[in-house]
Amino acid sequence: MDIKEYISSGIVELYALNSLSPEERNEFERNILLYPEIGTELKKVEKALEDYSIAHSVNPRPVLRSIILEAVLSGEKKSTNKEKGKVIQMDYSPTYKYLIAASLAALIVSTFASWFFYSRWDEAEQRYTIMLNQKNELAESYNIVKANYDESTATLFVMRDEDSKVIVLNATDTMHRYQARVYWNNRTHQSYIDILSLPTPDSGKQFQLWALVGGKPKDAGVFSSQDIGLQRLKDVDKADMWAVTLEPKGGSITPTLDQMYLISKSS
Amino acid sequence: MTKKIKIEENILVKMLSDRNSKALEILYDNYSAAMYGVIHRIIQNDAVAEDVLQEAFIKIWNNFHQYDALKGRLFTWMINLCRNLSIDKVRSKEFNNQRKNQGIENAVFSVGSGSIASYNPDTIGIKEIIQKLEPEYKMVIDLLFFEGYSQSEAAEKLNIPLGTVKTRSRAALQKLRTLFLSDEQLNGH
Repeated sequence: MDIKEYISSGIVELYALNSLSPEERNEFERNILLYPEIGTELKKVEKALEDYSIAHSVNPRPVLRSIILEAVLSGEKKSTNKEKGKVIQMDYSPTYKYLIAASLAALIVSTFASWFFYSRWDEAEQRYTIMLNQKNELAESYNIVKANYDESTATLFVMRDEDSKVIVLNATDTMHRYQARVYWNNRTHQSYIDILSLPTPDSGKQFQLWALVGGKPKDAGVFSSQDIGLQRLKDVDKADMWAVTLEPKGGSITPTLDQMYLISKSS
Repeated sequence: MTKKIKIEENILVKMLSDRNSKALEILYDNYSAAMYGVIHRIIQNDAVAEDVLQEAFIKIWNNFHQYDALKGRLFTWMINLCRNLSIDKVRSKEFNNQRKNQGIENAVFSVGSGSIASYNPDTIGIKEIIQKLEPEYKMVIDLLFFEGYSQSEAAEKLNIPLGTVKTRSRAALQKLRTLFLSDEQLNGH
């Protein structure tokens, strides 16, 4: 073998560059042992490549020295990363995969739970609204009943008083069956009217009660002919007869006698 | 910066065989910049390059029995170990997933363009020397040395015959030898 030609072929350089195929490399390594010139040439080529490497030198960060020396001597790999947030293996770590899977599962569960509890809440909210309306209706009807009860109690109270007198007023015109009762308290002088039957007056007109003492009429107040139950009117000190006339709205000072609808018997 | 310690290679090899931790420190102080430079030149990512540098030192320490002084120089063995680790890393699926689609062309022709933070001031003279290398020589060396291309891959990449890869790499290293040699004589090393 022509060693000079072998060396000048570039095989030494390619060996040093680690670019030979495994067969070529094995052959070359056998030749080194056989021909010392090859080994000498190889050392020169390697020296050139070392210089070429040195020409590309970059100083690693000073902190790496202690990290790497410690890692080598302890036999454990150390993190060389500057920031903890910059861990590159994240995407590949099974721990993270499990964590992501677990958090996705938790998300799904909590989404279903949220939906479930929301629908339950919505249902409860609707029932609450219905019950609130029912409560308001009940409260209103209670108020009506209470008002009716209070009125009835008051009426009963007036009627049951031992000083109360009941005076029946009948129609002056016997063609009609108009009627009313006056409750008058001899002690408290309060007067009430309880209409049994009276016509609806024209607009601008109003019925008025009169108390007569010795034939003289005294105003006892105006009232609505349509109200049911006792209507409290003015206090009357004394009366021996009672009458009702139809007067202009607001009442009159003296009764319009031809418009007299009701009159009591003298007591 | 830690001072480099002058030591005969055969003594350092003996110390490393004896697993002398002082030898590890000398190794780091003398060679880490060159090793990191090669790794960074291939990886082009600070964080990954730092990890690979650590891995390289662990391998050198743990697999030192694999070093055969008959087959080459210690530094060459270490540099080749760094190159192989880096090239394996660059070609791994994991690395390529995280890497911003930086084409191999960029890697080949970005030599000397400053993606690297701090150059070793000791090597400024040497850096100037490699600028004297003809571009076509430099391309062949860089493809084979830093990219881990095989001869045929380099031939295809550069669109030159396979024989030319051989002759060019020889011519390139011859040129480097003369350049470095004259530099050493000039500086009296």
